Amino acid sequence: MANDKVFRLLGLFFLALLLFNFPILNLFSQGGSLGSIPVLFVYIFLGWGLLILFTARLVESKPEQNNKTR
Amino acid sequence: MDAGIIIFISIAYVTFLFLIAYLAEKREKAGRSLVNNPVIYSLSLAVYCTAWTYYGSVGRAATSGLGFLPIYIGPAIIAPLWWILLKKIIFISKSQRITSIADFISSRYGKSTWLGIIATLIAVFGIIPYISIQLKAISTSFDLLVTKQSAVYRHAEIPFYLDSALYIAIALAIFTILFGTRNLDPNERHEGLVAAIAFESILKLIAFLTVGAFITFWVYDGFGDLFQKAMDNPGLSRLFSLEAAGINGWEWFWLSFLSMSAVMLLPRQFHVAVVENTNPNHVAKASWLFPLYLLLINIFVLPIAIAGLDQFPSGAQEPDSFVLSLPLAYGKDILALFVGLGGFSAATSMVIVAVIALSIMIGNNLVLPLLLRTQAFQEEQYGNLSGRLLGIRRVSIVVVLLLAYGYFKAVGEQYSLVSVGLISFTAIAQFVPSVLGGIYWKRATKMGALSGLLAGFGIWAYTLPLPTMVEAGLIPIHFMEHGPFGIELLKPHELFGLHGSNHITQAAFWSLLFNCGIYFFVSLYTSQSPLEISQADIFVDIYKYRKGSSDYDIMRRQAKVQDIRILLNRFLGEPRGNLLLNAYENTQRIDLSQQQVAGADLVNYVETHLAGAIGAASAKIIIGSITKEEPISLEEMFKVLEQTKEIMQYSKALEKKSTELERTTRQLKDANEQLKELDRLKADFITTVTHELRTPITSIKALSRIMKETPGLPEEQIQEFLTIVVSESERLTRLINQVLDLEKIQSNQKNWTLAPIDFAEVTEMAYSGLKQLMRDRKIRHELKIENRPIEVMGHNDRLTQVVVNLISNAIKFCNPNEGAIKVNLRQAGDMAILEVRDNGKGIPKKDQKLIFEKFTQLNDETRGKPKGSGLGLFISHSIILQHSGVIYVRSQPDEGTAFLVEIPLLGTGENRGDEE
Repeated sequence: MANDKVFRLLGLFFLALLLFNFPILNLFSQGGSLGSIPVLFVYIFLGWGLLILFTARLVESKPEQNNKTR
Repeated sequence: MDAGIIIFISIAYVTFLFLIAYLAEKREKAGRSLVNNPVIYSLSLAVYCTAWTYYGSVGRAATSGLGFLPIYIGPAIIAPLWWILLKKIIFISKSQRITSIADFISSRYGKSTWLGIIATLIAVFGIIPYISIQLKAISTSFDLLVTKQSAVYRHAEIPFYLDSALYIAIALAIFTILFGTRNLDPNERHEGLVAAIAFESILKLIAFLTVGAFITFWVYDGFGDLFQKAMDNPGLSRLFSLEAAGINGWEWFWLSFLSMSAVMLLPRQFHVAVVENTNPNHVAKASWLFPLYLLLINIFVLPIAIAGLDQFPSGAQEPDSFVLSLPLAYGKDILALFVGLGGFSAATSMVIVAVIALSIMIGNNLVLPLLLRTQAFQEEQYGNLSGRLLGIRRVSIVVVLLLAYGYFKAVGEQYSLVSVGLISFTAIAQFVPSVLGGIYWKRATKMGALSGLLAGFGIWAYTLPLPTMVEAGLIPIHFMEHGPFGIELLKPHELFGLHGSNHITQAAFWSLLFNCGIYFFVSLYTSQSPLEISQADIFVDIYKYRKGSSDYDIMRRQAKVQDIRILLNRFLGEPRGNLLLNAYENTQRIDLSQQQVAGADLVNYVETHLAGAIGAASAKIIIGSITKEEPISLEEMFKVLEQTKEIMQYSKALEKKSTELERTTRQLKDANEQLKELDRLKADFITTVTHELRTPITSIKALSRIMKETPGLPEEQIQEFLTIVVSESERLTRLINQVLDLEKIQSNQKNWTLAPIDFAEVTEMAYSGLKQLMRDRKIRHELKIENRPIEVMGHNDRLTQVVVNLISNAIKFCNPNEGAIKVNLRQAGDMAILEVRDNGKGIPKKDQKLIFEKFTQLNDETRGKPKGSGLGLFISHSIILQHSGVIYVRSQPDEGTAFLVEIPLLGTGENRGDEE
């Protein structure tokens, strides 16, 4: 169980490293906007928020007890 | 605004912080810790956000758009790994009572004093530019609030005694001393400090969000309006594309990498995340709460930058102070004051924690180890040292802040906050190989870490701080433009000819490349001391040690209880020293006053607690001065090795025994097989002999009965029958004689008397006896005897028997259609050699040995039924042995068989013994 968690966290780390670096980042860096908000701004802050969400879900998933409500 | 009001508010604010700290410490003493919860822990980590974040990010965003973000995205990317990495570092540090990043590195590599010193120097010199930008931010925001204009005068141009920045530095030093060095905590934990930092984190976040919201939603009509305005302005719309803003992927990657390492390894981050940590499980919540904090504090950065550029198109205001100048421009003085307070809290929190962390390092890892080696100090046996330790820290706090002020005054002022801050990040990233390698790679050695750190630090110093001094006029300008001594490859901003990347990027790349490479290769080619090996094991396998704590009792040291008492009193003060010893007595249920000598357990206990107060390297030296043995002496190491060797030898012996046993078993099995084979042969032989016996008896019986029961049988018929009966009887006799012979030869071998005889005569006699038979069977035959007489010591009848035997065999087994037999007798050297050759089927190699055995008859389909008793060759073999000779066979399948007999000639040494 604990080992699975380690690998999931590592996976999330590498995914984030990929998504928040060039060349992926550059795909959203060509200008343009999403309802008057720049695409790059939306991509980064939305992605950042999702990263926080996934990190929270992973680290708080304790096999012994449910800690989410604490 | 009146300067007096601002100063009053600042002092009131600081007093409030002290109140918070006081309350937190009071609650800690009462056992109801305020800071022992994950939210406070996460907020204390937000000390990462300094004036750099508060003012500098907007300044950076004004020139490079979202290019300010890698510094905050990096920590968010690495945060998922905190649960793995940071937790491990916390476990290690708690078990080793580690109090700083320098202490961590020193402790990992054998509690090396030198490594502690180097790491401390890197940290101090690396962080000084960082502290200087906090001074700059506080003083410029102060100037701005007072005069409402930026850049009225330059700090470098006014005398230091009129400079507000100097007084800010001094105030911060006093503040830090009051906060961090009131007493000496053996674990370096300051709950009051953490509580104050957490409060500051909340304040700076609220202040920044307030100003962000004010600008976005009051000055403009929300994000949409603001961004729309920027996109309509060609000068501003470039900020929405990284490449247009001058950020490339390489730079982005390095900035996020630097921030990933900084968020864990910066001295103040290490201090709040590891040293002040109350519970390792808080890391879980912090790994998402802290990135969330970063996200919130960054969301308004770009809007504020755009607003600043939009409102002040002339460039009248410094982008680094847009956060303040925007509310001032709209006449919101109270808001500006609140925002200024937020910036003040961001800067002070960083300065306090960073300087405390540095002062712990300087005291424990730099000054104390050097002091402990001086003779005067060692002779001075009594007196309280904890006072002196605090003194060292206070002095180092003042020194660090004055150095930061000096850097600010000399160079810091001309640079933006971010570009100076990044210099510090790059310095701290030099710790990455030693720390990461230290907790995952046991083979990493002290020499590797030392040389890697030195190389990385050297390149850092050469490529980053040095050029800033050039621009401050401390070093001639041609040094930058043409390199030292005109060597272009060594130009600090284009080291080794690397063009086209920004100087932070290239400095980070080269310094880390050399750092990692040297760390790795030197580690591979150097060896570790026993202490290094045991420390490496603890660091890498910390979870193993946590489970079975008694497992690592490697330190076998003894010391006098009295000495320990004195030592503790000296370094921790008497009350705390007694407290520690009492705690030990209680947990171990012993009375130390009854004991003269303290065992290894107590010595280790004292050392880890001392390490908390004065660092691992210093504690090692001090404990070493009162203990009898060095940690794991060489002899002990040898003893352990010896034991291991003995065990290995024992197991090898066992292994040998077992192979021997196996071999014996195999031999026994073989012998058993042989016996079985012999048994089978004997059974076969008996069957054969019985059959051979029955054949003549049957014919004798039949013929005799015919003669008896048939009267009037013709005379010649009777004659013929009688001849057969006689010959069959003779055959019977012969067979029986042979069997008897065998027994005789075997039982009384020594009873023969050998006499000189002519072997040629014997051979000729035997040959001529069989000539008729060969003629009858139409076998070509030939006898050749060279150099007769051939005299040997022998038994006439026995030798004759051998020759007859061999020739009979040849007759039996030669080619049935065109048989040919050659008998040859000659002399060769000392030997008489008799060769009897036939042209039969030959004998397969595997049977050639077997045929001289008792009862052997070659019996296969092609050869048909055996024709002899199976004793002939065995008898011959026995006889020849009695003549000190040999008998052997040479044969190839289908090329006939040659039997050879060699007997020593008369007069040679072999026979003389027998003659007597």
